Amino acid sequence: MIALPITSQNISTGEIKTSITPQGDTLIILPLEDAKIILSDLLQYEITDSILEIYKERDSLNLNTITLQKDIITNLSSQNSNLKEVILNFEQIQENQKDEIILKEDVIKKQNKEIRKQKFQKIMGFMGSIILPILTLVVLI
Amino acid sequence: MKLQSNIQLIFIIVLAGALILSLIFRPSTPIDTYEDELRELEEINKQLGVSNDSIILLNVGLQNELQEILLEIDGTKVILQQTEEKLKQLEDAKTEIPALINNMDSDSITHHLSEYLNRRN
Repeated sequence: MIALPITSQNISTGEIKTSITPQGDTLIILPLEDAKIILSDLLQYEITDSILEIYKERDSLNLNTITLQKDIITNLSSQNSNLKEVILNFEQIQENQKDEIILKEDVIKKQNKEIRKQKFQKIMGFMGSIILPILTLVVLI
Repeated sequence: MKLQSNIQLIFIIVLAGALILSLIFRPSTPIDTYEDELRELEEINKQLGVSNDSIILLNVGLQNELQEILLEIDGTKVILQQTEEKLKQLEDAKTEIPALINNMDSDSITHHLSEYLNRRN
């Protein structure tokens, strides 16, 4: 490649020129405004890449939160069904205790009847033991 | 005659008394105390109580897990908050770039372009 000196620096915006220095370096020449645009875009893209990474991280965190919330729902659902079972068990216990009360009340009723009967027998026994000898004596005399 | 009649009367009275007493003191029918039924019901209730205790214990475990999950969510919320702040900073920086670059001279532009290329490589 032949080395050419820089001939002109009058470049309009949007225009890019190439020139080769006497030392053989290829120079790409563009207006300062265009260089600013390129640098601005490059830095913005660089930041956009970082933003994208953070969005990905945020997405992952949100996904993690959703999974944890699903776990909470499952956990609460399990607790709920367990408590329902506990309630059913308590209801069954209550029913059984009602049955126990009915049976015990029946026993108490029968025992009360028996006690009344035995009290009557006791009274009759005492009365008989007093009246019968007297009556026998009266009849004999 | 009278004595014989009296003896008959006493005999009759004694017999009547014995009859009345036998009726009064007849053996009573045994009272059913439902012991088997009551024992069975108590056994069932005991088992249900044990089952309830196990379920409640299970729920305590689930509640502990829930607390751990809630703590984890709180931790995630803190990280999310930090992420949001980072995002805001980057968005602000991105917005500020054109204005900053517009105020730069050619040396700064060249310097920043070189820095970028070094980072890129």
